Amino acid sequence: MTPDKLQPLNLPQPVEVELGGEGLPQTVRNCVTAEKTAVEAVIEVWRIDDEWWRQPISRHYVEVVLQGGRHLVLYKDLITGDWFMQKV
Amino acid sequence: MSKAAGRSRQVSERRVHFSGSRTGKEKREAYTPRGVGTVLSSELAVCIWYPLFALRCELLRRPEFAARPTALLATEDVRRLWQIAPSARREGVKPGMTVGQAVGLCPSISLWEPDPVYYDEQFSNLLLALGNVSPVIEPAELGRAYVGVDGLEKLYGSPEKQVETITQAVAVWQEGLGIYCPTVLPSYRLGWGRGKFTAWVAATRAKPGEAVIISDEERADFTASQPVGVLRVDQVTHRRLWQLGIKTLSDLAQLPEIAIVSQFGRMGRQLWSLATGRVVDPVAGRETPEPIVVEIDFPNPVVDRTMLVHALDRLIERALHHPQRTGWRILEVQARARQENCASWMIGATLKDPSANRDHISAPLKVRLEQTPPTRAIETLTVEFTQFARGTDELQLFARDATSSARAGRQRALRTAVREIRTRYRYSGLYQVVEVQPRSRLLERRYALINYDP
Repeated sequence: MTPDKLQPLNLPQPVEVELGGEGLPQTVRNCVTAEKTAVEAVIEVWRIDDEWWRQPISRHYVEVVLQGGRHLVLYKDLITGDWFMQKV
Repeated sequence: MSKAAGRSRQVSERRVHFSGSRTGKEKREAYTPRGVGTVLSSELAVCIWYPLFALRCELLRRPEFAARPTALLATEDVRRLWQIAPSARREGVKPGMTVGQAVGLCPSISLWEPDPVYYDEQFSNLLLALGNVSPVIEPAELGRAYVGVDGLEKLYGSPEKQVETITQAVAVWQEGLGIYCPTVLPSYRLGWGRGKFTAWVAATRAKPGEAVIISDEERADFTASQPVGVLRVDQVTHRRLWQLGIKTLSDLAQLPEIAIVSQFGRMGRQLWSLATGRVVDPVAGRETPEPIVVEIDFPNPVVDRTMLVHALDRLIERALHHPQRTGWRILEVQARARQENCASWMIGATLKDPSANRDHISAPLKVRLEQTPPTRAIETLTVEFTQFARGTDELQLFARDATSSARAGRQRALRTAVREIRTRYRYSGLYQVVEVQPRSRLLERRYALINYDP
């Protein structure tokens, strides 16, 4: 890292998500580690549309608990259609 | 003459015996310096050292155990031993041993759980007593403190007289403990010299109940003749010094500075400076904080006593969290109020033992509140800490204001580590988490890493 340069934390990591009948995630596969985990519960769903005046951001967020108890935030980039995960 | 005396006979240091009892009944008023903008430092130092301070405090409460093998358990791990009485040491018990090992070696040993708050209070009171002799007091660790004596020769006289004055101040503190135990009390040692290091080494060379005075002429010879064991460094550094064949400070001083720095880094430079006597480390007294004032305005004047008590508690908490308060205990507190129709009300309390605990501070105020309640509804309530007593860094690790001092300790340790790493690698490689947009809806914008530069 160059001196005095900010490095963002909790950057989104790409994942592959399999959706269930209601359009909610059922399994999550980490694209880096190739680890696939089933979703145990969906806690919350929300949407963010922002910064339309420059680089538009449009995301569909799902907060989930994976099998084993791990807590994650998943979102689908509605512009590119890709899924990402972030820590809560 | 003892072995210690024999070792340093060639430098002819002066030994002074003190009895541990106060001569005369006079008692000076406590002088608490309010050094606004002044730096309290002194090159001439007296080191007062109570080995096994915590254990001795405990023995003062239980004098019947003074001659028996006893030990205190560690504060962080009660399965291990912390401070060991000499009688238990003779049986082979050592600090860090487990309880099982200690009992195996010495079945008659009495083991006590530590009472750190009590030791902290006693040490604070000792510092307060030393404050009657000099405004420059620097606590180093539990049981060890430095008294700056620059300029005190005009007040007290020769170094011997200064030592005697300190002895009297300590005797006042000991009398205040309310228990007299001749086998426990005169166990402290005093060292007088230029700089804290010389004073400390002199104190380590003194017998219990005695003082060693090192004049400026004797200082170089005295320092050079000391073993490297007097340096306050960790065991690994000690071992490395021995492995390199450096056994005395004279050996260390004869080596080129650069060689020591390349082996031991920044600490090596400090050690070399101490060994050569090029640096005099002065006693740095901390300036007493200005009074800390916090207040609350009630939108509707308050009459309810419960509400007032609650507000007092909250205000004391706020005042305790004031950054100026870190490292200090409260000795005197005032609560005052502006009442309806411009009337005023005030109560105050002097704590028996300096404290940084909300409940301890508020208790006497609540009693006063019951005794002399406000006559009218209160519009503004103010709490002011007016007098402070010093704490120590080590103590506060387990004292009541442990959180703030532990944080300060971590910062210090980090700063030292960063300096050390930067000396070797030119950059620290350490980063700090900073808030960028902590309430952003986009999680990746909330926090970031930045180079850590304390």
